[in-house]
Amino acid sequence: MQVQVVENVLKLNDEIAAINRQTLRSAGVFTVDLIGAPGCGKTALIEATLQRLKGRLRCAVIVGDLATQRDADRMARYCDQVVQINTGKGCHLEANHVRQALSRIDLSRVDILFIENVGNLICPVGFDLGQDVKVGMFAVSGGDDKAAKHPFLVCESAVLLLSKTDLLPHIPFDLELFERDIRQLNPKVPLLRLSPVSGEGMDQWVQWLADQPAASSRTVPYPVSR
Amino acid sequence: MHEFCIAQSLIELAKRHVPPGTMLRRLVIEAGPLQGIDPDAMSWAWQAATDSTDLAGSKIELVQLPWRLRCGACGREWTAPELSATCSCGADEAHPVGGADLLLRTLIVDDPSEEQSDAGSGCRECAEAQR
Repeated sequence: MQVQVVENVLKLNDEIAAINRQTLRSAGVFTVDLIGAPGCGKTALIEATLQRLKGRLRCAVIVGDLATQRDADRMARYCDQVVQINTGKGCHLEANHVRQALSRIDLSRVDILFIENVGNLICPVGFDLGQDVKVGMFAVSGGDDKAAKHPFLVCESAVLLLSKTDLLPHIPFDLELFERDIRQLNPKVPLLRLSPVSGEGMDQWVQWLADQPAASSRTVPYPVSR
Repeated sequence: MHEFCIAQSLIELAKRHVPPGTMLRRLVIEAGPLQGIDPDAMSWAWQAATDSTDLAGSKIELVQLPWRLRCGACGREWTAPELSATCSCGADEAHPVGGADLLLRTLIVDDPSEEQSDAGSGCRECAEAQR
């Protein structure tokens, strides 16, 4: 006997993500899901961003790792609402993780929520967490072929970051090839080159965040890709 | 592993749709090229994920959808098995459209009540072929 289902495989996750999205938008919170490989500098980027946003926008952070509280401890120096999720063997955050974390955050004191996903360029991309935007992060140290090798992340991101540009004088990295690979996959996605260490590009990144319409004033529906 | 993550999500969804009293034999999923699913890895992941569950022994069939491409120069759209930037107009400005589909299309289940009513009504080879 055949049973026709015709449903998104990740439907159960997406149902919780929709609840998260409603919760966050009702609170007027703009939410970023930051996705990148282990070691690309996600935590360092958020640390530097938190420092630059101090006094401008109120922030909270949810950080996902398989183990340890180390990333949360680092970011707690700059933000008083940081929640660490340890996934154990899980290689990505799911909407349920975020739902649990949100119960520990006072959203009335938040303008921007950063979700630092588990270090992984693959699995996190497909899981909706209830965010407003996915931000894909690559690093100079990761090589210039990583955008071409991870088309899903490139296509799904609202903005792409190339971090650790302070290493460009020391590491062979074909910027032209990297950008050409991105344009073939996603012609219009902004690409910001930055370095939390040298400060290069950080003003543009912070301005991009500040320019995003507040969730509570959004009139355009969230562009669901599925 | 990516395919294992998908298998775990699929188990929960499949359990919602398998009719009570039936046994899942096979399920058919469709995946767009952005999902990057390897068919062999998906079969292995499904087997590993369903082991020791009610769905153990069931098989997974993966239908891989082609790339849908649009030329940034002339606007033409077409489907292709591989990602390529070149359009028939000569421009190298083709880029993918969509491609992230991940759908549970069909479940094939054994209904013991149907098998009982069919008992003795046909030959065993025909019944096996119908599976």
